[in-house]
Amino acid sequence: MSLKRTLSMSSGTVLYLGNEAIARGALEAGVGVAAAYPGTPSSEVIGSLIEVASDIGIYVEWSTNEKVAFELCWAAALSGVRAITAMKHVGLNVAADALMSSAYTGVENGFIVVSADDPSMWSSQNEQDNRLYGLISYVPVFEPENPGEAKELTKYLFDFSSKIKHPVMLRTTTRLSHTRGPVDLGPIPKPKTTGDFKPGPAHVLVPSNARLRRVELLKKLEAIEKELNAFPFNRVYGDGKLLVIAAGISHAYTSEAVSRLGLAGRVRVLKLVSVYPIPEELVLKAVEGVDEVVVVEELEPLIELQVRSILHKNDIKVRVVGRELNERAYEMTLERAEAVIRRALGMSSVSKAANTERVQLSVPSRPPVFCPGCPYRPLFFELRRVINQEKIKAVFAGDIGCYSLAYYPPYRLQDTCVEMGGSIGLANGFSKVLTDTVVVSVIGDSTFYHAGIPALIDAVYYEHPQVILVLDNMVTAMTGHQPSPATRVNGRYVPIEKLVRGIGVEFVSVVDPYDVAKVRGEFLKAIEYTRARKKPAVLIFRRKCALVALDEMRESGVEIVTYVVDLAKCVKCGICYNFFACPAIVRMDDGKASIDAELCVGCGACAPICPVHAIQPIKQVDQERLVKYWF
Amino acid sequence: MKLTSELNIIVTGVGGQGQLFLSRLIAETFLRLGTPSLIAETHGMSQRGGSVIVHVRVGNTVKAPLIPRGEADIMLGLELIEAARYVDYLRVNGVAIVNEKLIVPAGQSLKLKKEEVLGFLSEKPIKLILVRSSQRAASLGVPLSANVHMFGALVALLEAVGVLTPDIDSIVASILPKRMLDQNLLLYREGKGDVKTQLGSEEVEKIKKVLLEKL
Ligand SMILES: Cc1ncc(C[n+]2csc(CCOP(=O)(O)OP(=O)(O)O)c2C)c(N)n1
Repeated sequence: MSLKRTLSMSSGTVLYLGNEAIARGALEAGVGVAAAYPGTPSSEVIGSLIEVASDIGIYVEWSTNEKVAFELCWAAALSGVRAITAMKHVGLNVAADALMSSAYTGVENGFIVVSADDPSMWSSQNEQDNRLYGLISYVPVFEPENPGEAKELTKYLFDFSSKIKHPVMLRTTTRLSHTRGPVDLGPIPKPKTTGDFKPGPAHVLVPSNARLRRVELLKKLEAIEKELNAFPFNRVYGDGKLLVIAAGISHAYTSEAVSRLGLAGRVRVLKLVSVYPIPEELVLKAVEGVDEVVVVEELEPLIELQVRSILHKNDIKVRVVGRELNERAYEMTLERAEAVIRRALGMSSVSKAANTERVQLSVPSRPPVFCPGCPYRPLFFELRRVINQEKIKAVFAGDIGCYSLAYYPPYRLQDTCVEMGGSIGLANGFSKVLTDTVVVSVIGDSTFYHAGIPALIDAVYYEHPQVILVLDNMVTAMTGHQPSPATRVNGRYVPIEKLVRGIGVEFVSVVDPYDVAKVRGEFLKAIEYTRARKKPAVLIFRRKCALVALDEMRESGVEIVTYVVDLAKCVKCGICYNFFACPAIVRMDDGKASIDAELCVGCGACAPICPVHAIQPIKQVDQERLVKYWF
Repeated sequence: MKLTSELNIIVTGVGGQGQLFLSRLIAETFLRLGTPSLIAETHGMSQRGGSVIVHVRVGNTVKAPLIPRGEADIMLGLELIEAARYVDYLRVNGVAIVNEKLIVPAGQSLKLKKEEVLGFLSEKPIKLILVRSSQRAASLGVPLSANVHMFGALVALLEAVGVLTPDIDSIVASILPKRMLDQNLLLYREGKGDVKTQLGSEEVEKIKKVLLEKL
């Protein structure tokens, strides 16, 4: 049940995603402002708040990037209005500059920064442990273990942050953000949505002020650490000679592992929710009388290091194990938690009957693919074709979005994919050192606004010859169709071509990616221009994300006319199923093509790429009439 | 409700087949009966036609979201290749309810035949129940509701072993989507009927033993 559907309830138990639970907690704490840039696994925090914003009367937006979102919320909190922002782990890198300074200014009312990390990199380019940001920014970090606790903690942290007048980080991982579980609802108060800003030196970090704030900040962190000794979400239970310490999702696994190993009540467990800073007195109390401490921890040994340093400082000689037993890469599992505790206790492993390896089957991989109707398919199909046919030596600096999938065969058109905005930025460098190569960058609309523009300004100002392909599907598709500044809202949007011309790009062309002849022609022209003039050229490929267009068609009751292969005409060339590679087009045993009517969405993009015109709609269809849904 | 311990269910398929919705139906049904669940969902990259696995853990003792390999009691496979990919999550003598639908991974000329996958699954030391959920859903004009048929199949299994009682139908009716409710109810009942007729009483006793070893 979504946050919106349960908005009127003020009691009872419902099933929420971890992220929805955080959003609900924010509402129950009277949040007034929320903003974020999307990123898996964080998106549903703001995604669910934006759905109820007008019902509750709060301000919620999808911002241009994480830093912009952070600053908007920070200003609200500085003015006495409770605010929450949420981002994926790498998003906090983008907002890190703001995070550092926010600790120096502090806040007037609660400010929560949700960092959703992605152990095992289910949807990410790296695996970083953002709890470490606590160490460097002096922002305290908290980790819940299930949706129910996430809601209570969020609510509590708003009060806590108000009390200490300091931003706090609520750190989740994929397995909390995207786990659905029971949450007990409470009432939603009327939110405070306007405030007032009291100017003062704390908000003006010129060096003379910042130096004073730095000392204040160190004192503040110490006070926060003391305060956390009474933090009600931390808890010690069970008793024995072994102390097991775990936080967040690792505690969820640890507590099950302890029961499964038959150790319930026979070991002492310290469940931490405040993972940075760890309150010293609590740790000292927890280690009293134990022989050994084992930390069950995912990713970096942050808890372990703090525990070690507390014990060292107090001259307590208890053996601590962690790093040597915990695997540092990938996410925690029940098996892993069990193994760590078993090995710490020197227990042998129990082998259980496996469901046999008698029979083998090599199961084909199933990487994600462009959806049927995706405008990127004809685009990359044609780019690959022209590059092969014209024997163009090119390097494709790619970026992060649905188009990253062009890395996979048959297109193979992403030579780099590193971080958001990294396409145009790397291409600037390639253009300086790869002199006999056509340098191309590929970037989506949302990513372009997010981090592409500064690199483009550099390309124009310093004349870096590169062909920039802006893939404008008018939405942030990969993360679940949040709006980008290209999304039309009552006709309002930020037109990419105007922006690019304003920066000073002379070669700008807007192309429909379904029009493969024009894709080819404009791409070759742009290459010629960059070669001759030694300047950047921009091609904007514009057509809506197929999922959005098809949704709008369905809602308007437009009949979807699917396509079929005329088997009398098909010459088995395989272009459609081998190189165009739409999931709806399959190869039949005789080598001819066939279209799966269940998967075909009637986009018609495959029709022009068939050399013998064998692909046709099953009945007359006026594609012109449908054009309005695609633009 | 005889669920005293936990019930671990894996739901697999291809992104877009409605694994999340199916998982929520299960968790919502148990919640109405007073038993909490955790669902570890798959979002992001893998939803674009990729391979999907969802972990559903039902029971009061459940704390963590992921089911260890080899410990799932039941697998609901919406697609054959994905069922084969994740079948090792099932424990020995666990039950796989699998939709007889094979979706070829796009852009790959697949040599794997449906019969091979079925052969592979039937050689495993598990109880394999095949259903034609996609076919039934398509014939009722709601091709995206194959998951509702699968849900019916699961309910039939859980009723047979005594975890659920027949009065569950009224709860199910209240949580099915209101859109196309008639077709969905029909699919749910068909799914139930389908599995009921496939399970002989001897078999039910066997499965009961396996599931109740820990339930
Ligand atoms: C710093 C950062 N923030 C967020 C993300 C998550 N993310 C991955 S792809 C993407 C959206 C890309 O949108 P767009 O460029 O428009 O491409 P589309 O998916 O629409 O093709 C986002 C937000 C990220 N990887 N890095």
